[in-house]
Amino acid sequence: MMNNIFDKSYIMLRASDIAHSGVFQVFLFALVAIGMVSCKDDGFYYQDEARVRLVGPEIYAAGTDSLTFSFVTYPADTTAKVMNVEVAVMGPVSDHARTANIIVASSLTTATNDLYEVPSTVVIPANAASAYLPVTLKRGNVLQTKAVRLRIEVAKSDDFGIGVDGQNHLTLIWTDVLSKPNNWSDLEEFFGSYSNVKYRFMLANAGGITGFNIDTMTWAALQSYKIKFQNALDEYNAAHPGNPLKDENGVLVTFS
Amino acid sequence: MKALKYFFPVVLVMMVSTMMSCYTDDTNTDYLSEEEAGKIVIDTVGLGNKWMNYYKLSPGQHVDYDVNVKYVHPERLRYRWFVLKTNYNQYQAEQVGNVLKYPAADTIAHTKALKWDVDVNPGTYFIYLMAEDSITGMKAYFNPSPSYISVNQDGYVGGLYLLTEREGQTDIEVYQSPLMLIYGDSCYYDYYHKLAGHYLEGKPLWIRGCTTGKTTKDGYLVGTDANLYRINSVNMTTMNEWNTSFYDTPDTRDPQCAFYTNSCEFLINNGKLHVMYANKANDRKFSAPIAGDYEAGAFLMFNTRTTWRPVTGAINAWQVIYDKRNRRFRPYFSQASQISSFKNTSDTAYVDANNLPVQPSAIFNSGGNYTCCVMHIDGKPYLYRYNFYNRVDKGDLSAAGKRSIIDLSGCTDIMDAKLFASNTSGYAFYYATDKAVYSFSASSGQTTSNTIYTCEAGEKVTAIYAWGSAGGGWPTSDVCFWIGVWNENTNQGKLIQYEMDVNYGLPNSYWGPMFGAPDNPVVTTGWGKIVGMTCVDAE
Repeated sequence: MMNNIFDKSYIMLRASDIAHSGVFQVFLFALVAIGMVSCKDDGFYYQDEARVRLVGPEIYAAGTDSLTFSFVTYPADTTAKVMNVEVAVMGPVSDHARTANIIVASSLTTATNDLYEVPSTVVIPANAASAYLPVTLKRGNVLQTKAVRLRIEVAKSDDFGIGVDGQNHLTLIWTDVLSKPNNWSDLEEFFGSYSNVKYRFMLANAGGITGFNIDTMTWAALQSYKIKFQNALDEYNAAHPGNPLKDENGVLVTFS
Repeated sequence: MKALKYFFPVVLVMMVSTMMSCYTDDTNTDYLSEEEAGKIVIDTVGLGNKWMNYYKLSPGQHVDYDVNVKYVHPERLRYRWFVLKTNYNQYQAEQVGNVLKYPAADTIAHTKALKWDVDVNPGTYFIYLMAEDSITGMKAYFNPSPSYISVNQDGYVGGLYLLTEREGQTDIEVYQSPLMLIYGDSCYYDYYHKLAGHYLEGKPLWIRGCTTGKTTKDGYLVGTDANLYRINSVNMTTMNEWNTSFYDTPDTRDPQCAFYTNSCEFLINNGKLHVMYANKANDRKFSAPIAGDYEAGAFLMFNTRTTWRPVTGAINAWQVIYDKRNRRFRPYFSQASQISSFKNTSDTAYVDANNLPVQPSAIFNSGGNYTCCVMHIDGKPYLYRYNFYNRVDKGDLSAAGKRSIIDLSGCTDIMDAKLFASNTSGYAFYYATDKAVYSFSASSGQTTSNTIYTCEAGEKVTAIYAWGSAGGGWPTSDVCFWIGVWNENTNQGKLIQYEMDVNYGLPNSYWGPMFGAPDNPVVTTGWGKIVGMTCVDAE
């Protein structure tokens, strides 16, 4: 008859044998020794040459290696947006200022030169672990029909090497493309018939919100937006005598 | 002969039966004549409280009410005061399990005179006294209220709300007058301050009824020179202040006036009209300023439209404002984003609503929902009257033909008047200088004013208020007129109440004595400096 390994008395017997064997005692000693060694406060420090990595603004990049931005919700007089990209040092701080080099990866960039400005260097001050690289994204008419991208990368300099693969570059994508909201039929009660010009005007004067929704906004809130847009339209038309705001079809924009 | 043997017994039985049928049988009940039985008669003749002057009761409020009972055997009467839960004026059956049952009466006293500390749940009730002959079972009922009584939520006090200044800040106090019929007879001095433990910030400007989230006026909007408050009438809880009162808070805080009508709350701030639709999903915030080239003065109409048999094609505006910048009246229509305009005025119109001759020194609504302007033209005072209510706009919005312009030269000191008041029930209006209060009737043909009150030494008129622009309902809802006076010698506010003839503008004693209210004038003192008054139930 075979031993039943699930038999309780059998298991207890085998465990007792092991506990009293010399092999087990050696194993136990080794385990305790390893445990004591692991308690040593040994910090992890970057020991290699100094490098830098690029970190996009959290609100747009959300911890990734790219960011997306739209000019749609910004007033018409907003012609540029500066993205402050953090250039973070990998390694200890230094007692003197250091310079990092930044290049545009042309093959991975679709934006034309007139649509952005990128400094080619950024100085990390003495005793600082990072600095900001101001990348200017410009608003051009071409953005109303498509999104463009800009890829910037860290280039080797006298002070810094290129950072880790995932963070040695940043891709910036920006656009000004507008599309008719799916819920416009709900909004028609407040804002009338849709046009791109009207919707762009609404977003530009809405104080930063990116859309309108009858599920999340009360009737009175939407009505108040309507009144607010009417005021803005009056202002616009007064500022453009003889040239009131018209939509892409030549129809006067109204909110009444 | 043999036949007679059977005939006579039959005849005999018939005769006996006939005799018995003539017997008067009173069964086992003794009937009494009306003189003997008497009749239970209950009334309040000769008593002060002819009607129960407490339509609106608060939990814990004490009610004293006595009646006369006439009966030939008063010693045999037993009494029972009871209330029946109603849905306003309807005593309705309620679903209990699978059956409909009428709510049982709740007995509140067994005495002839009712002495009751209100202890029923908030709601509406019929109240009755039953007097019953304990021997004969004869009963009589008496209803001391011509309608239902209403028990408010705990913490609610109804009445005339006084906006007062105390210690340089704003307080709210409440006056209940028997002439108002529905509240009681109490003065709640320093009411807000006592409840909240502090005053409202700033000096008081005005007070009006407002919504607290329902489609009815059940709160108070208070403007001060430092803030704007939305206050719940229950426990005077502040619901909104200036910074939470708008979807887009205006840069300039200058709340000029407010009024709730057509299920909308209107506010004029810094010359712009803001709207809140109480009958739509909202966040209890005012809209962005209604668009348009205008600068609104401190005027809002009480009633702009009617739903009861309106004139076909009538203007039907939700509100009408006075545009100071363009010296014209302008309508605002429901859900519009812009202020509108009336039609061009025709040449035959007596008054031009689109082009006032000068800036009015006062604008108010009066009888017929006319909009009246007091204007000083070439050194003389005039009353211009317009009609925007239930009227078709054909280019002539004159209120009363030739009488649309009335010379007020006979009105004492009207050029110096600082305060004006009126309601839409009558054609009289009231005005006050620092030292006196006057009235003028625009419908009687009179050319001179009536002096209502002259200040005593050290006194100054600080507010006047004519109750009842909401119109009908309670029989006295349009006849109360109050004067607020500040006495610099005593540092106390005084409130003077008159029952008025709403058309002649003269003190009157018609309803008051009928309902057991004290006769004119009724004076109370001890208030703060009264700056504004309102009563939401007949505002």
